[in-house]
Amino acid sequence: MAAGSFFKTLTSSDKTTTRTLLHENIPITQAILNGTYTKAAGADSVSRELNVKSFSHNMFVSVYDYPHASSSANHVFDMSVGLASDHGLTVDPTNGAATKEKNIYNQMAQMLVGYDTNGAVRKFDMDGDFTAGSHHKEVAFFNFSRLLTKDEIKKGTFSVTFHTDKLFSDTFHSSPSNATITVADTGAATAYKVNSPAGEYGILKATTADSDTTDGTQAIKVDNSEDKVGLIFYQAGIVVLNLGIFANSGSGSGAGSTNDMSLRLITTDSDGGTADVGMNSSNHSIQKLIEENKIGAITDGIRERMKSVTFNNTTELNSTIYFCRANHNEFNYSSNPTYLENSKIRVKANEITTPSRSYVTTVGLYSADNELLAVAKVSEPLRKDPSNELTLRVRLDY
Amino acid sequence: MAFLDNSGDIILDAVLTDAGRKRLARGEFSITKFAFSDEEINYTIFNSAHSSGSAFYDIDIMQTPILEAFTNNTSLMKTKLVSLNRQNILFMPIFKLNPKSVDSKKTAQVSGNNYHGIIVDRNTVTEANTLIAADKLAAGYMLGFSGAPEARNNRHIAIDQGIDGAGSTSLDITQTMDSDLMETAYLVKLDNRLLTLDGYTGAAYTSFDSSFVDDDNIATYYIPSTSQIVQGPRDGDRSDLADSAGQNFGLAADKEVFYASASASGPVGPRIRLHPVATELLRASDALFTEIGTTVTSGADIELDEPNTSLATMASYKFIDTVMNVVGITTGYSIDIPLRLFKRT
Repeated sequence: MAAGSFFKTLTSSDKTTTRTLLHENIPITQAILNGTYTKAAGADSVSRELNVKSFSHNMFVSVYDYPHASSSANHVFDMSVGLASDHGLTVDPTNGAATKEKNIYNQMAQMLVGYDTNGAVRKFDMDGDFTAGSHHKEVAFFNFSRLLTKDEIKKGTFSVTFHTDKLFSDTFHSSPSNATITVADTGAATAYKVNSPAGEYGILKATTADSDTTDGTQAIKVDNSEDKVGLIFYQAGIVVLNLGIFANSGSGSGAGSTNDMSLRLITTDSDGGTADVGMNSSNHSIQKLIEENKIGAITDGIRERMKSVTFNNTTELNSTIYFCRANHNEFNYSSNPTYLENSKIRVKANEITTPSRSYVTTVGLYSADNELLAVAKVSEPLRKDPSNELTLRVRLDY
Repeated sequence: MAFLDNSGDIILDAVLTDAGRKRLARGEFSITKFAFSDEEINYTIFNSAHSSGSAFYDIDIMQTPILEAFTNNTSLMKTKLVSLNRQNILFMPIFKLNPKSVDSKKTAQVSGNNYHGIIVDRNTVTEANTLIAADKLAAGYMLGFSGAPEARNNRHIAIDQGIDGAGSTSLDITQTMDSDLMETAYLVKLDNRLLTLDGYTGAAYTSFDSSFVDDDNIATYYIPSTSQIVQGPRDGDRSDLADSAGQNFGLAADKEVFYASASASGPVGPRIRLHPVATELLRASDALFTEIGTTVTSGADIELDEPNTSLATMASYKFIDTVMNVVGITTGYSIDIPLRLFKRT
């Protein structure tokens, strides 16, 4: 450092970089999901809560934390429904939903699971092994806002809980029972997949809170906690949920039937539309809900049964740390106008032999042409005099 | 044996300034050096007579609350800490505006006001030919427009470096200032929308290009002491300053600002001579005058001619107040020079 200067050059040994992961818990409560705000017809002419925005194209709906027309509203997530090309339903051709549902499925599939070696879009595989096994064919998509997921959803922290009472109600929020099913990426922190073009993903599994399905409240239960009911793409912030969790089981029918989720395909509706888990005010089954409605109304049925969503997000901070070193003979004087009284240094108290001193309150980081690019403050003044040396570690996050 | 308290966080979190973000966006972000500042510190509360001893001299300073960092690059790091290898320094030089370095007409501030007046266009000087050719423009005003640079008549703003040793009997203007306190370069900051920078060499004017213009339109000019607009401490008409009594410096003494302020005068450093010039934007448009200036239509006439014969009375005009900041690279000392830019309407 040149004598008589206020800049000190940073050498390569004065800089280092670090990487830090920050996590926040994101609870999405039922107050946001349903029941809080008054209902009004949306752009798709369906009446729903004002914090849920629909569109005339009817491809998806957006959920906000406040009526969406308000500038205070924050986007929470989008919901949509997709059907694979070989789904087993008979979708009403007159409502035009089938094509959109297939388009949504293919769009999401090509983004999240990519293409096979022949260039064909792959389907969402239940166990992540694309060489064999079953696929999720009738699915709901939950696309979480970047505002919430930040860089990614933390593995092993996601869960969504649905009310699974037999009869549909739009007052689950005010009078909940303990009949629920919870879908989570249990164990994904140490067991996740990396064969997706959209980054890492985990397998969603389901559990029921009330195993008694004979009392007429809990309509379905999970026999095997290893059943695979969906996928979660951590970096993309997208959850793919097999809608079969709301259907009655292939191994039984009526109230109290058990659900073998790994085999859960919506191909039959033994109750003729009056299902074990009613998905709308007419208590239509999930099959009938999909077959007879457009995407907006289907997502309403699913959303009304949502109790909560929770996950931890992740923010990746890349930092550069600058070691700002002040040797014993550096930065002991000041250009502060109050430092001098008639050009005499105040802190010397008229004694030329008294060591000079100064006080650090701010560190400025500069470009080569002397432009101030970043600044850091200390919490209290740091005395600097010839008897001490300072090394301030200044961290700049990106 | 108790544990040491290591709860204090020794890592400081830095925030990007707006200029830093702008450079990041342009892909020109590179930090190469640092500086320390003590802008919150008021050294007048340093109490070297504290009854409890030297450990308590700075107790009030150490309790100074520190403000959070904010992002306006022009508002931070105003007063920097300086490295000087020697410890036996009792006096440090400062900057002073010198209103008489040539004569009171050419370098003074406008009479009765603490600013220099910059005339932004020829139309403002309605008696232009008379005023300019005969150098009858009133003291403190400068022609801040191009087209007649030969008629600037040596006017400029002079800033002297020196030790303002009022009351000291140990200082003498004939002493040479220590070389490590002598300014080696200057940073001059101007609002780039309003002004560009020329310097006065003693015989002519020379223009400078800014090093950079930040997001707040503040242009920074780097001027080394080797520039012709920087006059050395013993140059020119200061060559005859030596006098055994230290009081009789003749004509030169009248031009020495540090002579006037010190009982026995103090050593002086270099002098920088600057001449801001109005931008084309100011000359061609009134937009900035409307936005950040003031309009006068009556009641505050300005006499632009020195004899005050009312030949060049300006009754209706616009003006903008701005500041030229000059920082010494060696000592870090900073001075703000008030400027008022005039345009006749």
